[in-house]
Amino acid sequence: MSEPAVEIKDLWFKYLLAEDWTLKNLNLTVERGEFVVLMGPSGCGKSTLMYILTGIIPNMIKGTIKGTVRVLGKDILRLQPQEIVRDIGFVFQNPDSQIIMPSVLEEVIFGLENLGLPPDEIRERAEEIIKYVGLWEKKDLSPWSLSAGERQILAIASVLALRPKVMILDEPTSMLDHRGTKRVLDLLDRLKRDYQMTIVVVEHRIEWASEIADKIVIMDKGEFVAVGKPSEVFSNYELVKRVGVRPPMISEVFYKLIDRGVRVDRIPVTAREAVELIKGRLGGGR
Amino acid sequence: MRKSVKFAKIYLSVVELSGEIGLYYEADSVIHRLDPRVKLAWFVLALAASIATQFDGSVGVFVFISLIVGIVLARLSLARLLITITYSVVFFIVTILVWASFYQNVGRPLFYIGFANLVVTDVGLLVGTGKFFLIVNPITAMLLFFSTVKPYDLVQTFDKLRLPYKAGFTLFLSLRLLPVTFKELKEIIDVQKSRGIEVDSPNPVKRIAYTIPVFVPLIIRIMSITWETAITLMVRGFGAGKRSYMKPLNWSRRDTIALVVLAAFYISIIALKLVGFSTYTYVEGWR
Repeated sequence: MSEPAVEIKDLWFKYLLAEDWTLKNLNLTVERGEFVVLMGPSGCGKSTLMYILTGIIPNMIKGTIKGTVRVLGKDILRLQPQEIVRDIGFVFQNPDSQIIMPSVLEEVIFGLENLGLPPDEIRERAEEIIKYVGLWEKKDLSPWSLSAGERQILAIASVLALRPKVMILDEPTSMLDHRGTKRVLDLLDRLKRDYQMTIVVVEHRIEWASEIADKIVIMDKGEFVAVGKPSEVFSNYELVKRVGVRPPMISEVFYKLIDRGVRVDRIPVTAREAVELIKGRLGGGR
Repeated sequence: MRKSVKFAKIYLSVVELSGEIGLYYEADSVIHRLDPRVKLAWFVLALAASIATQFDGSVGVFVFISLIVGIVLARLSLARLLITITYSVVFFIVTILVWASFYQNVGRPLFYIGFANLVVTDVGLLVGTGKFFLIVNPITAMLLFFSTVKPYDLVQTFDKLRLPYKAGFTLFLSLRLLPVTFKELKEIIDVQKSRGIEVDSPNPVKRIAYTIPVFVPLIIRIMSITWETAITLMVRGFGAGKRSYMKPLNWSRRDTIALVVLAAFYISIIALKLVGFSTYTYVEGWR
């Protein structure tokens, strides 16, 4: 059996000069092809964890680390940045900071050229990925002429071109409007479906996460307070409320029904599950 | 609207016009089609010729004319040319006045500037214009280089010349930061204005004081952008090893001819200056 995509064991981290540990005794296993959504209030350590998974800590940011982090079986804490980029892709919040080159095509090929790939392979990979994300018509345009959502798609495409096995995304939609957000989330949906890629994403859109995630991880004050399938995590009403994460709207409806004395076998977390449940109760349907 | 604000706005729009990618100006011209290495050589040659002619504007002007011909051939926008000329005129007057004052007693007097109590002599004028071209020519040559070399090719040019490509890239990144900085500056000014801070107050003391609420957030924003850019470079494998290029530079016969013509022109100017040639003969012994 192949090793898990990500394996975190007894991970502790403290920033240089900080008094408190930012991450406290984290343990998590992400299997290959799994789609994990990480949630939690601001300052709970999500971004710090993302930095560790992508090697930014300890390569660019220093601090005290205890424990082990293995990505695809490799000890990420001991790898150099150039060894990490072929396996792990990272996209973060601000699309504007992730634009380096003056045209869409040049942006995508930038990473491939850094890896020293042959020109033909660069051309082939760039064409494939730009077409996949739907920016082929705009390949010669300046990234600054694209919408913010398209720029974030471009940032994702530039990382995807490197063909990483694990994609880490830190709140990729937090600076986008509704339309841009939808485009980015749809792309992540397609990546999961088409490439069975291992994806770890920090995202606060609960309804979307409930639909797509294989695993939900909720963090609070540097610790994992809930790890499991969306149905397992969001059915724990007390926990979800305690850590300040809003449960899916449809689950909230069912919590209220329970409060009013309606007996429900389980709490649905998606609209589809709710429809099935109600249909079963009503005993009807076509 | 006051003139300074108006000019600042025009300047910002010119920066925006530059395609938000530093100074590069997209056009289909004979200069654009030249290999970037020729254009880099052009810059170095023009710089050397400007140094050689720094005491003689009557020769330095030919270097300047050659660069203006380059700008015209490159079909650079009128706005860009105007910015260069506007700065040049102001700088020209100041340089001439300063250098002419040092050489009042040398050469033949040409005219007298009453308000400055200054006698401008032919030698003063020659040195003044020479010093003016010493500064303006390299700036114009640099403008021509960065306006016609794609940022993509800039890194490759350094790499091909066996110069550290990271240095070339740093140069490119700093140019890229220019329009981003202006964009942030505009946003911060708008935000601070909406909070009632008179950024363009007619009172100069107030204006100086109001630079603080503009520049402090600007510096913080730039530091944040720089940090995020550094992360992006890391996750895209920058510096991972030997780079390859999808569109490698291609040296053609046209480039060889251009290089030979440019080298012949500028080396002739340098050689002529070294043997003491000038297009102007002045009479010694005045006063």
